[in-house]
Amino acid sequence: MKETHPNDRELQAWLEHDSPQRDRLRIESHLKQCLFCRRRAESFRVLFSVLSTNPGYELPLETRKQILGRAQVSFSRRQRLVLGARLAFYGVGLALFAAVSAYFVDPIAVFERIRLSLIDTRWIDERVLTSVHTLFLNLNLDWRLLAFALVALAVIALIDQLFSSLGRRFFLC
Amino acid sequence: MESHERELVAAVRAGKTHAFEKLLERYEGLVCHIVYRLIPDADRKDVCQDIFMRVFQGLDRFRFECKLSTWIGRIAYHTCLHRLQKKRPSLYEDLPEEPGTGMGAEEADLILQIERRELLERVDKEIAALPLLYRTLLTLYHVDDMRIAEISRIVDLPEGTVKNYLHRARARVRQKLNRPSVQEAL
Repeated sequence: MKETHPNDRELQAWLEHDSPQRDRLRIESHLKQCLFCRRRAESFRVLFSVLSTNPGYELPLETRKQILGRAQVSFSRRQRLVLGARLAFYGVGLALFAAVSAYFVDPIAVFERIRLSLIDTRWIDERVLTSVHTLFLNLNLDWRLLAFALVALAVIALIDQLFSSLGRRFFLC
Repeated sequence: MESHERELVAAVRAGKTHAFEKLLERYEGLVCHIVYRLIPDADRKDVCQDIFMRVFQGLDRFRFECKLSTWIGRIAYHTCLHRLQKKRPSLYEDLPEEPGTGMGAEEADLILQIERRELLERVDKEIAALPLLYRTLLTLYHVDDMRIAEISRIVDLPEGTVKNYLHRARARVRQKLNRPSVQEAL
């Protein structure tokens, strides 16, 4: 029976130990008696080894520095965004809480209760607390206006975040 | 291996500069090999920068569904294709098998007669003349030592097709090296 030469595909698969067992045995038996195919297999083996040689292209040092620099800038910007978003989130929460509290509760009465409690604990000197209390009373603050200002500030911070995330610079972040 | 990857990715996500530098060092070869094979010399630096920035910015979305090298390789390959899109290169330029690649019975095996250094240069030249897909497959498989399964994920082709094209690519390089014109030049 005339034995046919393995084709290129079969020979490559054999070299990579990727041929089915039946083919492998046939190719090995053929190679034992065929000098021509042994040379073909050898030339593929050499080609494989040459193909595995590193082409030697490396990233230039300058490019590497540029990449690291850009990554650093990108990360700082992202960090700023995250921090700004958190601050805005907590700011809105705090402002809403203050607004609701100022609407329903008298801040002076609350402060008075806190002052008396602190006097009881004796953590802070009574004279200091009394001075702060007097200062608050003398300022005669409009608590609702203050709460409104806080909410407005928080909303501005949120808008600022939105602008920043769209890649436009506003004024806070 | 995977835990190292996870640690590295976590560190880069946390903004540790040295971690990104490490990632750059580790996968620089893979990216450079793909870029070197696909992109003309003048654009290589830009494309490399582009690829690494995409890696950095996209790392938050990496879910460890494949190896990090496969994911980076995929970004590199597709960024190169995107860059070349204007020139409309065909991935499959003249892919049909050329006559003579089936067995090569008439060819003299010049590969065995050429000195290695010379052979390297000639192989490099012949690879540069191959279609994009062949170049990518040869690089990923031989230089970057990637498995067929990983390569198939990078180039979005079934494993059998990748294997098939890889065989064709090597057979074509061998055939071209054995051409009479090359023989005469020797």
